[in-house]
Amino acid sequence: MATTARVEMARGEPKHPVSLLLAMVWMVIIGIGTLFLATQVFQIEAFFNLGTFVPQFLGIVLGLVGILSLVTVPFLWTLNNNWRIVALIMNFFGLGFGILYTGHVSGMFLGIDTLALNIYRNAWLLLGFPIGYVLVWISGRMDDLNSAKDIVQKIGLAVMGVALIAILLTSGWLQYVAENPGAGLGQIFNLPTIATVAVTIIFGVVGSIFMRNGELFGETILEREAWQGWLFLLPNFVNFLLFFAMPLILSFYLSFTDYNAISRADWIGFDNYRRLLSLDFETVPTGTAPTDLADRHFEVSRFTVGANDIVIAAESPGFWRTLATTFRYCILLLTFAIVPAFALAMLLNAKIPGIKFFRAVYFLPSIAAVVGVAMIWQWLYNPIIGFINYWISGFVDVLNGLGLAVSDPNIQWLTDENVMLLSVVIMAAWQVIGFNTVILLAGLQGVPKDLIEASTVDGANSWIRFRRIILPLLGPTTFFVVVTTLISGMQAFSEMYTLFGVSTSDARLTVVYYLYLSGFQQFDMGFASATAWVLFVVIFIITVIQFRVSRSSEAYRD
Amino acid sequence: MNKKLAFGVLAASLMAVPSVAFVSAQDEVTLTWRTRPDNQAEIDVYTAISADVDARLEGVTLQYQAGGTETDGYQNTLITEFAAGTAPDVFWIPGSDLARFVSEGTVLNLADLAAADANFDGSVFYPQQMEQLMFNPEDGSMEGALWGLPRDASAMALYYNQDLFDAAGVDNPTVQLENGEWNWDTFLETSAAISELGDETYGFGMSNWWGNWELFVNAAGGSYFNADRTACALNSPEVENALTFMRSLYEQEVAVPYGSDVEAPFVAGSVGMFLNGRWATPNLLAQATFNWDVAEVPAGPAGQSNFLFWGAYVVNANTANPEAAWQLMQELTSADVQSQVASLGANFPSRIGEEVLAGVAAEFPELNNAAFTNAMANYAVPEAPLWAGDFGAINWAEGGVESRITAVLSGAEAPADFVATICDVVNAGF
Repeated sequence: MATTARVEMARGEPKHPVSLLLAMVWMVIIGIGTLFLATQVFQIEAFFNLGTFVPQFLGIVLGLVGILSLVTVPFLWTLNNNWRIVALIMNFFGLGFGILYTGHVSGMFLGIDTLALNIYRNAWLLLGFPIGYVLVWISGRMDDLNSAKDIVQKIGLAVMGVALIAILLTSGWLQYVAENPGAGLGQIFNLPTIATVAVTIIFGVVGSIFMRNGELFGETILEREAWQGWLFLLPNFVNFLLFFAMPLILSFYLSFTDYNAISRADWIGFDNYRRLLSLDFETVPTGTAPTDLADRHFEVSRFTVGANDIVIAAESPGFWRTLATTFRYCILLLTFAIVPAFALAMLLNAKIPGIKFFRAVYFLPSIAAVVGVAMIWQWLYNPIIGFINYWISGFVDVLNGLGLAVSDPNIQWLTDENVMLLSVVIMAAWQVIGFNTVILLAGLQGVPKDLIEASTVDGANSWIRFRRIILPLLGPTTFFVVVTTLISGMQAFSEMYTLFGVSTSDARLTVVYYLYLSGFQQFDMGFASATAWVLFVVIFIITVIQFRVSRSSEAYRD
Repeated sequence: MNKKLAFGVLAASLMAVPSVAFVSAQDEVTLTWRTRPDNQAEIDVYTAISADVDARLEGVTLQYQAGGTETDGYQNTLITEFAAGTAPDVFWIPGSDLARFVSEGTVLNLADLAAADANFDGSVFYPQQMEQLMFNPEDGSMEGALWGLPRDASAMALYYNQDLFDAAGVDNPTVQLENGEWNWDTFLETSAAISELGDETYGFGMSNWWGNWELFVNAAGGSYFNADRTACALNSPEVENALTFMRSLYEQEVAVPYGSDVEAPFVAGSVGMFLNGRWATPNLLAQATFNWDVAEVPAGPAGQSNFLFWGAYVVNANTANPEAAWQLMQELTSADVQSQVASLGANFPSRIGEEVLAGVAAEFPELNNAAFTNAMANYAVPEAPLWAGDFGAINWAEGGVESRITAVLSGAEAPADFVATICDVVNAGF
């Protein structure tokens, strides 16, 4: 088939299937349509109050897509396989976006709450999945010659399929979409929804045409496997573009504007960054207040040098204070979340009965939701009715019973500014220790046993084996654990938010909390975006330094 | 086969597009409305109200949305939705947030709709609330503006654990009030007597919120802002006096440390008196296993003090159906609907009159409802939005009033230092 087409092309008489011709027409239509849409989008002045940059940027992107669509046509005519793949990807992108947009205009996404609620109410139906999985698992372990193998497997798949259908039917989702005034049949049977569905179907059909005509374009098996692989990545790529790349670009743009969510965003250049990073210094006699600070600058800290104090002031003192708190939090978290994890990993590496149970138990907190964990810890930390102070009081009573005059510290875990950061660290470390332990345990199990045995034969005791062999060989694993723990510490927010609620105390605020307050309490979105980007740079620099330090270490080179 | 199929689908799809032009338009107006319910019981009541009102309003379909709780950032979610263009047509906001939402241009001025409605009578609501809702920030007058209608009313009271009072052998606040002895001195003595019951028992507790500490400030004769709320007034000797008194509660360890959760230990029976609004009632009715009641707050040097708290239904400035939204507002603030909401126990109707209050009292005969209604009728000042400044920035921002009050009450800052410097912070917010 492919040979025939190429021979005909060589004679100057290319013969294209009608479906391919129609697909090429479609590429022209979406090219022209997208270019038209691009000109319209480009001229929008009020695009969600985001200023003119966003519609202009989107207009340019759409314009490029339109041009690309038109460019594919002559290459498709010459049966160029590379451009067939471009057209194929464009149409499948169109299909993906079309499905998402159809869900939006038809109100289907609004019904997801209903879906979740009803799944919860009919949770027993979920049992169909483990039951089906067990059947498939059993079939996988049956002899290939056993005639029941296929039947068991099909029954397993059928059970899972029936469970899925039952969940969807009892979920009330379809009913919600049909009846809800915000979505509803009126929303489905209207022009935008039907047009979107029609265009989405066409994208799918045209994509299918390009997909099925590989041989005509002289596609090799390797090429087919390559684009099929990319096709599987497409949903994730769409997700990446919509929910990661676009917000990232948008926040970078907003960091140069005065966007406040309600009024139109105006370009103000680097003013947000200047506000955030602006510092001033003044030397004053010790203990006296500064008198000559730059306008709108407030004292952040001071250092005593001889008879004078060097006062550090900032236009955004909260940023610097919370940055300091964040660093303190990270240092404490690294200590509390890695050292115990190391010890636990060593213990769990031992061959003792029930070790798998203990591994699972220690890992459990890592998969618990932060909000739920914080609520439990709120109760534990309660100074009056909490268990922690209750235990401390009990211990103090025991000591006093022994004749020691010890007073009950009655620690105010959630209100004493000297303690509250430690309270969060304990909770966060408790949650992350299990994860770190599993990673370190994997590293420990990768340490070659012959090295341990050889060193034992050479007379090395446990400490030397640990110091000279295990620890260096765990370098890359430790590095990974340190980096991930540090980054999670630098980005800490939900722990503080859920444990303390909306707070104004710097002692419990991290940089992310500070940017949340700026963005979603004071709606200074531009400033909050600038804060996020500065934090990104800080984390990036710290990570690069860690990489360089680790690379210079002996273990990492090995 | 595949080619024919592809061609058929293409043709059918292209033909489907123009055919939908014949789909008839919907005549029914859909309105979305939202409140900030605290629990499922409230959601159920509002859902039922929505269904009732939906049945009464012709040509209007209602969609009720249960907004998040206060701690979920209800107001901030609304602002975010305004940015996205998805905010509801009608929504409830706390009274103190009115200025913020109006100044952002998110609230529709209902003055013309009200003027054109012969059936509308604003005098059925608390006048203090209507004064706030009719304030015109452009000229400072009470003309030409109506930002919403009040949904409810509430006040503060002391919830007290009668069992702890019995154990301590002291009269409860209601008895002391009847004897004319309920003031700051007896309040401190009472708190101390209850605290002596055990190391983990406190006489008093209040959360870290302006409504609590400002109540003491007002009772001392001070105030947060000046009379026309255009400048700070926290630099007075009366404020210092109030702070010194409140601090003594914490220094003498008769009060739950400021900033700690108070409701949980009160429910657990470890706190004698808990200062809170009417909204605390449903949780206590559901959870407290001891004998409890409510009483008026003690009088300070300047007499008794309280707040008339309220929230209002307002209309989205961008609603496509302002007339229908106005209809909905009136339905939601009708006597019938307000009595349904008040039956939850979290507030009182914003409509005035003995009949209304008697209805609520009949719902909760076991409670001293007069502790709230006396205050609302006689000496409570209305919760007021701050039109001339940014209350959020003044009160809640880093280094703002709330964090400074916390510093004073936890012993980190002297009341005199607070009074000497706080107005520099506050006035920067105007």
